[in-house]
Amino acid sequence: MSDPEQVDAIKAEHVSHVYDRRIGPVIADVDATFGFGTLVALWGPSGSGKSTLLSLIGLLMAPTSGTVTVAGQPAWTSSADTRRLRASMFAWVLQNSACLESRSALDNVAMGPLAEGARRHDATRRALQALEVVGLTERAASKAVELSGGELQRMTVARALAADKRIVLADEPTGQLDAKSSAMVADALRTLAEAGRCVIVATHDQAVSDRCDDVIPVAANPTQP
Amino acid sequence: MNDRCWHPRELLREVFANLAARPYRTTAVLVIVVCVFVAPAVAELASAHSTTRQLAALTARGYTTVEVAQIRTGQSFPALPCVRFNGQLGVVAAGAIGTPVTTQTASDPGNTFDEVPAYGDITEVLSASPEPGTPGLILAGELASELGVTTGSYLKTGPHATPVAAVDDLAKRDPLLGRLVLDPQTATPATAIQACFVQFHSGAAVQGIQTLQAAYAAYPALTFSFLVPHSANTTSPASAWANRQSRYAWIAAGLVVAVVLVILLARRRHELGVYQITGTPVVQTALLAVGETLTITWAAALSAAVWAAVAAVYNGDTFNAYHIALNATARAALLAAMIPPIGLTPLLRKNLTKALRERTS
Repeated sequence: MSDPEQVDAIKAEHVSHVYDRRIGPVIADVDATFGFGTLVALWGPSGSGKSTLLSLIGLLMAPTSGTVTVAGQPAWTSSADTRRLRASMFAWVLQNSACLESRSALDNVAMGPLAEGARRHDATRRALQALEVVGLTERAASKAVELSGGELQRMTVARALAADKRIVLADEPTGQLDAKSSAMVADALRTLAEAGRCVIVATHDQAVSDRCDDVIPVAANPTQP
Repeated sequence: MNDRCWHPRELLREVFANLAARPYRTTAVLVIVVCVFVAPAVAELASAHSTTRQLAALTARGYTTVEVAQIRTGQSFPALPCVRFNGQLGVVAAGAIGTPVTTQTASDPGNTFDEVPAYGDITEVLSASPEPGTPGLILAGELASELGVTTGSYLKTGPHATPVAAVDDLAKRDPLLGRLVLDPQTATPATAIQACFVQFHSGAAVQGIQTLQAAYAAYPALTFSFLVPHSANTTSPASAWANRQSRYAWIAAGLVVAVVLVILLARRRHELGVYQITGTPVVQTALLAVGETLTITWAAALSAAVWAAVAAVYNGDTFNAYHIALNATARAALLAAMIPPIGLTPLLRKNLTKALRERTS
């Protein structure tokens, strides 16, 4: 196995993806490299394919062509290995704040450590630490459904922090937030990168891209109608 | 890369935590499943209770019925000793049921029984014993089942009998067979029968059965038994399954529970996707889903068993009611074991990306 410290977090080579052959590729021949300890923005307007690219490098979808390598290991060589890579390497922060709405913020954040095999008391401790980092300690006992949009996004950032995954992918994490909440979420993502993680954010929010180490523009495929 | 996953105990706690997090929904689903499990048993108990009341009414009137049959072989035996009991001291009525014959077959020449078709428009099933001397036969076994009446009912014969609606239920009988009931009141028997029923005044029953045994001493394979108020439907889960109505009830119960659980889980695809993106393996995500449905169905099965036991005790007819309780429990347990794999369907129906884009409703 390659040493994670010596390799890129994600390397995408000639990656293309087609949803519908009549429409053409949404992502066409993309090459990109992402390192650990960096916060990178995939920047572009709505419909440009940012979320698709994020899904491809996050191994939620297989590319139509091209290769994706995660921490030195090629993805999609087998479905079992891909599932293991996906489970062990990636944490997600999604635009719709994917979470268990009927459970508390603490329970949601503790899911990551629990999924790694941690016992409840250890997971709770790590979750409380993560919630403190994103400024949500006082909302730990609140149900997710009772949190505001900004709090929800910070909660999912805390979940990524507590899960101790080495790559964090955020899909439009500030898409539905006001400026103040966006800044708080961006700061939280910055914290993740400073902790040595590779953080990739699909966004068209200037406040977020301004905090990134690198910005990769994603343009809509000109061959699409 | 690693293969870390949930500790089994934490996964189990997560199942209960998810159920507890939505108490109203969990309770509603539980109540629905309990009702579905219990409803067939309620119907069976009601039916059994009706039988019990009927038999109790007969007992109160001082009648006891003895059935003579050759259970092991099903072979026939002479009707004459049976029919001769009519008019004897302590006997209310005696009757016999003949061998099934095809509808098209004419009666044998020289048959001195009056052959009363049990199907058609000349019979009437009485809810209570006819007065002594009234032409009537006691029904039991297959004939009672085919007519859709309870064992121990009375079939009135004679010129003023009226139609019986249940007799026309073709689904209950073999259309190629017509049963002939031998009326002992109007003829001298000369052919073989499959069963003999003699109703005694209660005080004469013990001596009466000894007399019957003596009358059929030449036929050692015959059994002599007092009619007991339980139907073939309630003796075991297997025989309940063999009964058409009971089988439909089981299937309907299973379908209803399955639909409820599918709806429940379909609304949770998004949440199951969340488990997966936080690193929960697909197998453990499936275990979570199955665990939640399994918890509900087994809780319902346990509730159904408790209800059935209480109902059985309350019913008072311990033999019958406990069998019904056993059936209800067995049915619930079987369904509870079979249905939870439906929990896997949300994981199969959509990919993770699509599931995560949905919102929990």
